[in-house]
Parts: sequence; C-alpha cells; structure tokens
Amino acid sequence: MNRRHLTRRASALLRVLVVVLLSLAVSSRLVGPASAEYAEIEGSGSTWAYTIVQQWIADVSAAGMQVTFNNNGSSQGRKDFANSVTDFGDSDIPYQGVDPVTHQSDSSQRPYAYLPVVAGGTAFTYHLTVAGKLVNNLRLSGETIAKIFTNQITNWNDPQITKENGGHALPSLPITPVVRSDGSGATAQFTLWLDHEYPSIWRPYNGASGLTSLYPRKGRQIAASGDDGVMNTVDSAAGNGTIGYAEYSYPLNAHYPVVYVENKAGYYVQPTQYNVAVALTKARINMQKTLPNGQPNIDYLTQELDDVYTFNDPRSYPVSSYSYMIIPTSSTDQRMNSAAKRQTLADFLSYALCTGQSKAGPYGYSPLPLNLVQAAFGQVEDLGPAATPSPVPGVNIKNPSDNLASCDNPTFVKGNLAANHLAQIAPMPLPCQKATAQPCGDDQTPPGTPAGNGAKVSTKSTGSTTTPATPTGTAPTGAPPPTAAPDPATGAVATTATAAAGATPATANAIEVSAQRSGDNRLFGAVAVAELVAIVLLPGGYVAWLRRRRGGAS
Amino acid sequence: MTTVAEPAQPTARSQPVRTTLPTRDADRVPAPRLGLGSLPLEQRFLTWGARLAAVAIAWVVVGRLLPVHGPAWFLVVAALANVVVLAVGTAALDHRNVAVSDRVAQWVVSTGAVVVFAALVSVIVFVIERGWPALHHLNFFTKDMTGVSATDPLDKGGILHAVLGSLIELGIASAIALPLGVGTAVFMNEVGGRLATVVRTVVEAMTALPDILAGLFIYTVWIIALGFPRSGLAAGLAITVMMLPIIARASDVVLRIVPGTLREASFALGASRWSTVWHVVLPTARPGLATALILAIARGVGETAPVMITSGNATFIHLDPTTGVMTSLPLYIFTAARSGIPLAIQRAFGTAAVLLVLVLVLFAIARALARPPSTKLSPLRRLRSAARAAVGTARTRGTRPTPSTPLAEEAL
Repeated sequence: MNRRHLTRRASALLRVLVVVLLSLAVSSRLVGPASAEYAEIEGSGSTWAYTIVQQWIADVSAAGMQVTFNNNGSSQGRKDFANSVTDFGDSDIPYQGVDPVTHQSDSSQRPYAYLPVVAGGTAFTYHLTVAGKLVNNLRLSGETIAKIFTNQITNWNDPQITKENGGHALPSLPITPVVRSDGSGATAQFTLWLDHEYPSIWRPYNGASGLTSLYPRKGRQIAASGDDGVMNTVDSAAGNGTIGYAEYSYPLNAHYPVVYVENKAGYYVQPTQYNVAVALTKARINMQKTLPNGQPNIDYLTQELDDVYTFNDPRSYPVSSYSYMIIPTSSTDQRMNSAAKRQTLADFLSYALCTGQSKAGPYGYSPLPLNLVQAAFGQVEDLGPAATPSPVPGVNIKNPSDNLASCDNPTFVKGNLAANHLAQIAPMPLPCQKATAQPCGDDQTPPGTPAGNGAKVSTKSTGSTTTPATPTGTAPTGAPPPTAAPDPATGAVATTATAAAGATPATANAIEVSAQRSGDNRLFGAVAVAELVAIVLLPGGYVAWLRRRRGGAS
Repeated sequence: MTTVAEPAQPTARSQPVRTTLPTRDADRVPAPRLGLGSLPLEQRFLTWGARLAAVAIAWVVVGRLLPVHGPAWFLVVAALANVVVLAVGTAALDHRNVAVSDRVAQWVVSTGAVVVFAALVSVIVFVIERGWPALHHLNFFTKDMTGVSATDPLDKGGILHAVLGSLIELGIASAIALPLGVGTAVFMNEVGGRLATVVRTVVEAMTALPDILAGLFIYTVWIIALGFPRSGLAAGLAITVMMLPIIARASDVVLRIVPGTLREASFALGASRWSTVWHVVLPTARPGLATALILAIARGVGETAPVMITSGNATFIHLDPTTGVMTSLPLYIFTAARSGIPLAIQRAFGTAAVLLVLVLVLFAIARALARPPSTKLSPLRRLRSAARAAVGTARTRGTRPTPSTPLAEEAL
C-alpha cells in the first residue's frame, strides 16, 4: 500500500516534470539561435571593460552568437585564460611574469596574443554631501589623489583640498578611500600612474616600486570587489566621505560625480571620450610584430603610457589607458577545438572592433583610433589563417580593414589612420576648469560629457537622507559659487541633485558654527524624554509603592 | 466521531436498558464559566492601555524630542514604552512582584514571537514589492536575457534560463547526494562499528564546510586537474558536496528514532539485514528522509559562490549540463544586483521572489511525496468508490446489498 502509493504519486510527478521540461526544451530550440556555424564561447576578466563588453555580447546575440563573460577582474581573467578555463580573456595590463608583491607566477604557457579593444579613463568617484546635497564639482590634483590613497590626507577639510577648490573648505569628515580587493587592472593602471608620477609618495607606502594588481589596503581604506563593487560602496547610503576609482562608465551609470583631475597643462578635466582620446594620442604602442631574431613579439600592441601622464594638452585626462583582449593563437589549442568556436570569437571581436567602437563614447569609454583597429584585426587573423604552427581551415575572418570607414568609428580621419578625429575635435576645457580660476558651478556641464546610457529614471537617493541637514551644525554659508561656472559631473547628477535640495550650489563653504553644537539637541531631547516618561510613570509607581507599604503594614 | 457512533449501533438494534437523562434545575442560574484562557477585565484594560500609551509616547519622542527618525526607531521606542508602562501598571494594580515579572515575561515571549514572524513576513513582502515591476511582465518568466542589455526596459528579457539552470543543477545534485547520503546514514546506523564513528565525525565536520571551499574543490579537481569545462554538471557536483553532509546527518537522526522493536520483529520473522533496512527501516523513516532532502535542497538552491566558480553566467538558455556555462537563480541575482544599475536590481529582486516561490514548490512536492498514506480517501477516489457503489446497487437491486461498502449499507 505504502509503496504503491509512493510510486504512483512519484511517477505522476515525474511525468508532469518530463512533459514540462520537454516542452521548454522544444520552445527554447524554437526561440534559440538557428545559426549552426557558431558555438558557445566563454571569457572572463576585466570589470573595467565589462560595461561595454556586456553591451557587445547583447548586440551580437542577434546574429546567433552565444558569448558569456564573467567579470571577475583582470588578474583572474589572465589566470583563467592561462589555465585554459576560458576561450578568451580581457585584461587591462599584460601578463606580468611574476607578481612583484605576491611573487606568484603571472604568465601563460598557452600561446596567446593581445589586441586592444577599447580605451577609457580610470575615474575617481566620490560621495560627499554638504547640507544634504551631493557635491559634484570636486577638483583634485594628482598629488592630492596620491596622498589621499596613501593615507597622508585623511580629512576632506584638508588645506590642500581647500586650496585646489578655490578656497572653499569642505566639511570636516574623514576620507574613506575605497580600493579594489581583487587583483585588478584598474588598480594596476592607477598604481602605475602613481609610481610614475609620484614615486616619493607611492613607493614608501607600497614598500616597493612599480605597479601592483592588488592594492595594499591600510588604515581606513575599504576594499571592494570589482569596479562595480567600488561603485556600490561609494554610492551606498553609508558611503558619505568615500572616494574610489573605477572606469568612467560606472559613475556614469550610477549618476555619480567624478573628480576633476589636474593635468600637466594646469586644467582640471574629466575622463570623457574626447579627453581620453587626446591623452592617448601620446600612448606609445609597441608596433614591432616580430622580434629581430624572427620570433613573434609577444608584447606586440601593448601600451607605454609615460607620455600620456605628462602630456600638457589642456584637454588631456592623465589616467587613460587601453584594455586588451587575450586570444589563443595555437592551432592545436585545447579549448578552440572546433572551427565554429574560432569563427564565433573572430566574429565577436570583429563586431567589437568595428561597429562596437561607435558605442564606446556614450557608455563612458573612448573608441580606438583606426591604426589600432587595423592592427587588432591583424591579431584576429591568429584565430584562423595565421594560427601557429599551421593555419586552421574553415575560419573566415571578415576583415574590413580595406574599408574601415564603414565601421562608423568616430575616430576616422580620411587619409590618416593614425589620427584620431575625436582628439582633433575635442572641445577645450572651460575657463573655470583652469587651476587658477574658481571651480565650476552647478549650472554648466563641461563640453563633451555624455548623457549616460543608463536608465532614465534614477531610483538612487543622492545621499540627502544620510545627513540630516540641521543637527550636524555645518551650514552652507560662505561665498556663493565663483564666477560663471559650469559644472561637472554628468548632466544627470546635476539634475537629480538639484531636485533633491533646491538651488543651493554644492560648492558649500562649510563652517563649524560654535553656537549650535550638535550634542545639544541630543542632550535636551534626552532630558525631555526622561521628563515625559516620568510624568507618565510616576503616578503608577507611586500607587504601587503606597499599596506595597500598606500591604506590608497590614 | 466513529468511536461514539459504533457503540450506539448495537443498543439501537437490541434495545436493552435505556439510559436516563438527568433533569435540569430550572431555577438555578448557571454560574458564569471561569475563563482560564482570557485575562480579567482590568488586566485587559491594562494591556490595551499600555499599547495605546506606548504608541503615544513613541509618537512624541521619535522625531519630535529626539533627533532620531524612521519607523524602526518608532517601533523600538514603542516596544520599550509598552513594557515599562505594562510593568508599572501591573505593579499599581497588583503589588506582588511575581505578578509584575509574570507580565513582563509574557510580554517578552509574545514580542519575540511577533519579531520572528515579522522578520519572515518583511523579507517576503520586501522582495516581492521591490521585484513587482519585473514580476508583472509575462516575458520575465518565458524569455531569457539573449540580446538584452543591462539598461533595457523590463518588458524585454526574462529569467527562464536561470530557472531551468537551477532546476537542472539541483536535479543532478539531488540524484547524487540522496542515495549517497541515505547510504551513509544506513551505514552509520545499521552497520555500525568503529568506522561508523569516524564517518559520523567526518560528516559532522563537513556540515560546517564553507560553501566557497566546495566550489574550489570542484574547480581544482574537476576543472583544473581533470580538464573538464566549466558546466552545469560541475556546478551540480559542487552543490552535491554541500548537500551530502546535510542529507547524511539528517537521515542519521531520522533512522535512529525508528523503533528497535520493528527491526527485532523483522529479524524474528527471518528477514535478512538488507531486507529489514529496505522493507522496514527506510519506509518507516520516509517522511523524515524527505525532510532531510528538503533541508539539503534548501541549502543547495541558494548556493552562489560554488556555482560562480564552477559554472558562470550565461545570458541564454542552456540545457546540456555537460558542456557550457549554465546560469542558476542565485548567480543571476548576484550578477544583476552587483551591477548597480537600477533596472538590473529590480530584475534581481524579481528573481529573488521567483527563487522563494521555487523553494516553496519544491517543499510542497517533497511533503506530498513523504506524506504517510492517509486513512481518509482522496476526493477523487471517494467519488470513484461512490460511483462504483451506485453502479453496484443498481445492478444488485432487489437482492442482498453488498456488505463491503458502507455507503450502500447506509443507503438502505
């Protein structure tokens, strides 16, 4: 009886399950890609480049390509590729050989090639509210940033920050730098810049020279995983006083302000596609495809950014860099075991390098100039016709390098592939972005700032709830915002912030008013509560005491 | 009910001595019953008065006297005011210390129950409320995320790929972990010996295994050392590592409470140890074994870390567990929630609501399978037997009624 019951019920359930799964399978086959020439490919790596890579993946799925990408950081991306766990990787820096800090091996026995896929700026995003309003025109020099991230400047009212912001003091609030907890290309690019430009600040803190993928977290610093983790830490309700670094697309999506960073020309600029394009015209790309001894140069197309950091164009954003895909080049690669997989990767990269570049600007990146696109297409050939040791048949690289104009790449300049149209038309910074001028105000946005691709409705609170305006004792008195000043940050930030807190400019000069100490409210409130409770409870307590005494007497 | 009706039948047939009913006194006013469960009037007044006073005090204190705001502070202040007023009021009405501590203890216990219940309800309500913008689109359940970018509106794309991935991975994990886990429990209980103690210690230690280690174990052994690709199968194996000790541990406890007399009776009838286990011990423990499976599934369905390492995040439906990245629900929630894009976060909350419902459905299925066969007939079978009885009476009209069906007997 028992068992018959069980088996009958189980078999009925099983039958239902099988029918459901079968119908789902059939329907998924129907809606699934019909193209048979493609196979699923997997990649992993940089969170810095993830925003645009994710968009490319969504775009190519219309053509039936199934691409997955795991944004687990550049270091893990390089490791996954070396371990043959993925078909391609994405890293902001090349293989380092041996990590200078952890002494772990960072190299690949699997034959590979680099190709640049997108350019961008490592932005410094921050969360700072004054009188319930998000500050969005903060200006910092590279030296100040270096000191903030090495715990030498620890308060927002530091004289050096005040001086760089036209003499407007920010409230007294400890600075909480947010760094990356995982091995990261963004950390590597940031620390490479620190090491190159401010060695006297960076090297004693790091205890070694050179870049590191793992930031040495010390003191008040918070470590978060991924660029998205840094962004989520900064824009969380408890994030007031934080500053972190992430690719420009993340603050753009989160509608959060980014720091105006001072360049060598004495202008404070943001990492817009124009400013990044201008800066990277000074990037020295390794264009030596084969070494003098005839061997292929493994560092072909890698970047050398020394001149980017010191470029004295007023439009140049100093912390700019390229992100790289890592692709397998061996014709006997263990994972690239079918022509379909090679074809999928080649077509995915072709899309990214050609049409995909036109999407870079609105997403907070900067498109590649055409000479790099052309060189990168040359690297894609390694998947099929140029694979080592022997070509792989059946892989058809649609190389549009003869007609790169059809890619709709906004950097295209007729007749000169090495030129970058964006760098030529990049708007000059506003007068208020000059170091000697007063900082920009709220009502203007620097030219070239993208509107952001994110959702039109921002549900994020701009942090106005975290600091109740009155009891803190800091009041936005001080001078009204300087001159005619345009403002910063993404246009969207300005609008949400304005909506949240009226028209008070964010350049608030916070002054500690000694007459109204924040402790007073609390103290008097507590006294009033104690009195109220006493009024309610004392009669009852008195009756109880009386009755007890009478009860004890009787 | 049946016990009352059955003894009455013979008396109705043979009619021996009738019982006499006691006559009721018409003049006597029945005394009001002492309600043991409810409080006397003044205590009830005190209870409600204290609640009212607490709300009033909280209204004055929060946001008006103290610089604290929000419903959370309101509730905390109200609760504290409530218990203080209650204590003082009880002391005023009844000067014994024991009465005061009795009321306070009663308050603590009932408030604890409310807090636990409220925590559960608030999780469910919060998740469904935040996920509702995504949930009320049908495409959320019938589509995958192919070609949908992170900022596309909610009427595009869905989570079918994650639901199917989760079901497949859990199916693999259950299929491996259930026989192994129950087998381990049988070994520890029915076979015993010195090795059983060792096994029990190992199982108990494995219960505390951090989930990320399970993922790393499968990653290093299955993916790096053996060279298999990351896949739904690898994720299922990682979940198996998490589920196995829970099933073994819970089944062990369940098998231990199977009465020894049943085993002895089975042995006395000449059954072997194996047939005793198979035909006596396991069927007796069936509801408990199902509970063990439920516990393990509840643990496995929410695993994110091992799945992230061993599988990965795909945006499309993938039904073959042996190759290729397979997304599961917790992984999808994780990736969508960490993106920081408001629309993706709404999708994540919608997915979390789906995950809650999925767990509930799995629980219901397991309970249904484990339920001991009830003595009551199911509505369907009752209908069938009634129909059979009606047919039977129609066929045998005029002759002796079939005694086997009580329905037919009553109809006479």
